[in-house]
Amino acid sequence: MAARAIWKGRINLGPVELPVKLLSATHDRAIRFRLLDEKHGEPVRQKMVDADSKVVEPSEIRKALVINDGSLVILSDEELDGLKPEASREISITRFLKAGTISSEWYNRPYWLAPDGDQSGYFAFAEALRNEDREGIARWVMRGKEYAGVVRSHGDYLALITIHFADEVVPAARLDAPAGRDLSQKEVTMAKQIIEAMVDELDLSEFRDEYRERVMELIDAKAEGKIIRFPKASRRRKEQPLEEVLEASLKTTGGKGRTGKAGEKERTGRKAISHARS
Amino acid sequence: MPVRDELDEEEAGRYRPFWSGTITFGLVTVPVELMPAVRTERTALRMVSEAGVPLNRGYFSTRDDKPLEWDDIVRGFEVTRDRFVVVEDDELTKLAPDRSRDIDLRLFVDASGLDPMLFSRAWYLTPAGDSSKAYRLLARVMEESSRAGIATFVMRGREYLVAITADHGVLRAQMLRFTEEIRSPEEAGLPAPDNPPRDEVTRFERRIRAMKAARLDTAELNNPESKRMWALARRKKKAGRDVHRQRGLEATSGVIDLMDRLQKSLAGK
Repeated sequence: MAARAIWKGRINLGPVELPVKLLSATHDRAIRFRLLDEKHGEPVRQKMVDADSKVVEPSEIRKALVINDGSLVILSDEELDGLKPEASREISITRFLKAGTISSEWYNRPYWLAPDGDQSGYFAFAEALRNEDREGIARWVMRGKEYAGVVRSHGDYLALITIHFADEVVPAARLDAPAGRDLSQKEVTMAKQIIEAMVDELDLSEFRDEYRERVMELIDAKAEGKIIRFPKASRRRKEQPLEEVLEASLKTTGGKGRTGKAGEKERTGRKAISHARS
Repeated sequence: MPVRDELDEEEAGRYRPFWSGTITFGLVTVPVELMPAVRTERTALRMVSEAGVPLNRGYFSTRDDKPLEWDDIVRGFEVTRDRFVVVEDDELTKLAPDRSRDIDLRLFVDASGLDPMLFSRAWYLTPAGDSSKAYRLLARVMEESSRAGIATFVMRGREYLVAITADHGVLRAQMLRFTEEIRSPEEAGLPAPDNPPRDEVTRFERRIRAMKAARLDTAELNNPESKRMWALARRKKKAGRDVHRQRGLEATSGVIDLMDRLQKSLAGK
């Protein structure tokens, strides 16, 4: 079934404009539990309470920011409303970066863009992005909120992925790597061999959320009043010097080419115990 | 009793490692802790009373409106309307065998081949345990060879698909959406592709080339609304309007204290 448009806007590329619709690109598959009052088996009621567990009525709840010196400033709803951005239908693209320039921690939520009228312009833009291997940095206001994102081609289509604002992300480049004694060349070489032996093509469809399936099975079984059997827990290994472990790993994984091919089952499922542990 | 942290993952992840466990590759185990790389703006505003007292969520019986303790609360899944199946924490734990709680890397791929549409939340891994040697080794080798290690693991009642990558000597756990969580263009209702006229493609290509940039300028990724909000709060503070003093409050200073914690954790403090 076709998803409903979440929002409609126009991509602005200076003299060129492209009308688009935003469609959700994700399915929410999370299992949602409710909190129940154990005694009555009914959902609990949530209310805000103060430090003395006294209930504070919704009309008495305020929003506040805590400033660096620990003082708290209340901002009224009117004040907060006054800060909202002006409504607009424009998705402005500021620049185009080489695809893949943006580090993964910036990414947030993906949307599909669909043509809203100008179909050939839409597919032309997607093709141009692909040919140039570029992605556009976009800013827009949607439903009273500011967004930043990336417009990129995805197959024949356009996707718009929101990215976090600068004040929400710790970029990897700003962190200091852990320090310690230098690694020996031998260790580095062995680790490389171990990893290269496990290199394979990425086929993400091999990975399924099996835990979710097990939780749903548990719920179904309980709903039908069945007895549930649980898998047994496994034991942990003990510690060994790193170089010995690397050597032992190479014996099991190295030289034989792609252990990744050892079997799809093994990779996706956790049923088979890893060769590394046996 | 449900694990409280699950109710508000973000709150839980703010001030301490969210998870500690091990990454394995071959027979090598790397003890790590998981720290968030992102702190969303959602957490900046706090709910307080008119007198400026920070509020918490309280739970009450629907039947008699009596306050409930954590021990009185269970987790339920609604199977049909108003019919719930109660699921206990240890039942969920038992569904995840020990080894599924480790990040066991058995597949390495070209890190640049990961589809950004799949990226959900990112975390940094910091070394735990006595030595950071195995950590540094994995980070160095993956970074030099531009590899990402792929695995699934169970954490706090959810299975995650994760890509472990290294950047500037730091390991990152980039959570990925499962492919079943992504709508295909057909599912989303996108029209069948057209063959666009060549001159139109060229026109866009020219626009793209005219607007090229080499790197992401994070100054462009400011959040004007949040800036205005903080500016207003500071103005009110100066003027002494609606200001309350509370003991033991931590400032909601964006990512600064998160970064500070990450640095300490990376330095082994």
